[in-house]
Order: sequence, then C-alpha cells, then structure tokens
Amino acid sequence: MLTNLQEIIERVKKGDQAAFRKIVEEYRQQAFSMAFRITCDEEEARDVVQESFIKVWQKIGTYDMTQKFSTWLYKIVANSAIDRMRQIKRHNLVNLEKVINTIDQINLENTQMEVENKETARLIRWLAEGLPEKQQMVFILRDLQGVDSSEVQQILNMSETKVKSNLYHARISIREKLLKTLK
Amino acid sequence: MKCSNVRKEIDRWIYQYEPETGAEIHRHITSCKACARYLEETRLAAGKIAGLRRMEPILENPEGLTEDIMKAIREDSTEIRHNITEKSGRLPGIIILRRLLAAASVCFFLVFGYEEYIMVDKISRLEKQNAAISQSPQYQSALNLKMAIGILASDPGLLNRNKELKTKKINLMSLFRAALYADMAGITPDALQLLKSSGYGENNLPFKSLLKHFDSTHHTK
Repeated sequence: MLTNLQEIIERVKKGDQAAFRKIVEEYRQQAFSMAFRITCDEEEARDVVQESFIKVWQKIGTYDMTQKFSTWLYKIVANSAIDRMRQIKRHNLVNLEKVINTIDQINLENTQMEVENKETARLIRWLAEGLPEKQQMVFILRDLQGVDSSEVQQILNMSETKVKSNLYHARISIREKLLKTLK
Repeated sequence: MKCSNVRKEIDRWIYQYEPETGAEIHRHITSCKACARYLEETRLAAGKIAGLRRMEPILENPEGLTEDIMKAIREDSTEIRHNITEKSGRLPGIIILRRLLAAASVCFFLVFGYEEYIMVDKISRLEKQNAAISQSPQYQSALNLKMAIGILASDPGLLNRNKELKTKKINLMSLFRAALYADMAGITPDALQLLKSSGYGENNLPFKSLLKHFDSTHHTK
C-alpha cells in the first residue's frame, strides 16, 4: 500500500516515469484480477491491464484528486475489459463436469485456495453465463472482486437502486444454478 | 413476520456478511421449515461465491507486464506528453492564448498582407505610368502650358483684360485648353494663331514670353 499516493500522482502528472512505475507495481494485480474476472481469459486480461495503464498515463491530467484513485483506475480497467468481453465470441460450451469438480473443492474452511486461472475462468464463465450484462458486471465487481457498493455505482455509472436490484437478481439466478448443480 | 420479509433479511445477512440479529427472525426460522431450508441453501451458495472470491487470479510474470507498460509509454512518450498537456487541461490559458495568437496572425497576414499587396501593386503601376508619361513630348508640352497658365494668371493686366475678353465672349481658359489639345495634337502654329486672335496685346510681357515658348517648343519638335 502506497502511503504517499497523492505525492506520487502529482509526480506522474508532471511526467515522472519512475513514479508511474510505482503506481503500476501497486495496482497491477488488482487490475489484472478485475480484468480477468470480466474477460475470463488470461491473455485478454493482460492486454486490458496494459491498455488501461497506458490510458492512465495519458489521462492522468484529467484525474480529480478528490476522487479515490483506485475507483478511477478500476473504472478504466472495467470499461476496457467490458469492451473486450463484448468482442470475444465464445463458441465452446463450459465443461460442466470440470465446473462441478472446482465447486466441490470450494469450502469455507479453505481460505488459501490455489486454483489454476483456467479453472477459475471456467467457473466464473459458467456462473455469469446467461445473466444480462449489467447483472454480470455488478456480480463480478461486488461479489467476486469485493468492490464496495458506492464504488460499483461510480465504476458502472449506476444508481444505488440499480446496483442493488441488479445484484439481487444476479444472486437469485446464481443461487439457483449452484443449488441445481450441487443436488 | 412474512416469509418474503424473512428471506430478504437472510439475503442481507448472508451476502453482506453481517452478524445475524433479530430474535423475531430466529423464531420464524425455527418454526418455518421452508425458510430454514432457504437459509441453509443461501449459506451454501454464498459460501461457494465467497470461495470463488478467494480464488485470486494469478498474474504470471508481473515484472514482464510492468516492463511492457513502461516500454509502451516510453516509446510513445513525446506524443503522449503532448496529449497529456492538451487533454488534461493543464495550463489551458496558455494553450488557448497560443491558439488565438496563431489564428490572429493568420487573419492579420490575410487582411493586411492583401492590402499591402494591393497598395504595392497600385504604386508600381502608377510609377510605371508616370515613367511612361514623363518620357513623352506631350507631357513636356502639357507641363509648359501649365507653367504659362500660371504666369498669365498672376498678371494683373491679364485680369483686367479678362473682363474685356468676357465681353467678347471669349474664354481665355478655353483658348488655352484648345491650345493645349492643339499642341498635344502637334498643331502648335494654329494654337498660336488662336491665342493671337484672342486679342491679347503685344505689350504684355508674360504673353510674349508664352508665345516665344510655344515657338521654341514647336521648332524643337
């Protein structure tokens, strides 16, 4: 966690590349997680992260210092990832047997789950499949990425009511899907 | 308490990860098998989602990604810096002023440059015309006549005589003009005759000098 983030951002605004590197190192993992959970593809997620940080460098002058930096960054990442997600045309169906195996491995006691990206992607894809795009995004950001509700509103340009309503419907659908599989 | 309200509360507890509170809801769950099952299933589903949240995607070779990003911004640095300055709105006053000055300069050169061109062109044409005129014999004759008119006009005798001329309905200036045209047409003797016929006296010195001048001009031609 960067303690002097404001100072670093001021330096980036002046074109300091070393300061920018610190930002990249601090936020690359979080940015990748978000991009990966949206695109469900490792390579696409890396591209999204790279593209997003270049946008950050180019647009840092427009960043309002009163806003939370991570929210501003995640908005850029989410938008890039959503664009990519729309472009990706998936023809192959998710292997349900493998999904069930992964779900079975998940339990509340296991706090440090070492799962390959491929399996995680498969599971997210299966869960989010069939949901409207807004529900997918709210679910991924709120329940998987752990972004708090007010940030989700800002990232997706949605009202509090819309976020709540989309999340409620997404959870209902996912709950039904999970229960059907686990029975 | 209604089952639908109880289930909303269950969702709030489970998904918001808040501690379970409310004795009334607890009592309802103990007495309602459907709601108890709903609680159990929701816990199971939420547990799986929480587990999925813990499955943090692994970023392979993070340093490589950082280097790729840094390389990209370095390669395009000049262009990017230009964009940052323009798009960020940093120093907007200077940027706007610079653009206004550029626009004003273009307008200035368009308007005044064109005016200057027109003026220079006119002057150049006039100079050419003047040069052409000054070299012509007619121009010299016209100058001489102008001088003669000046001499006659300054003569008080002529002014007195002018009254007589007027009574004879002869306009001296018309005669001079006629003489000028005649001179320009190369018929100076006639012009002289015309002037002589105006009746202007031989004793008038300016007139005599004028006649002499016309004579000399005619003979030099």
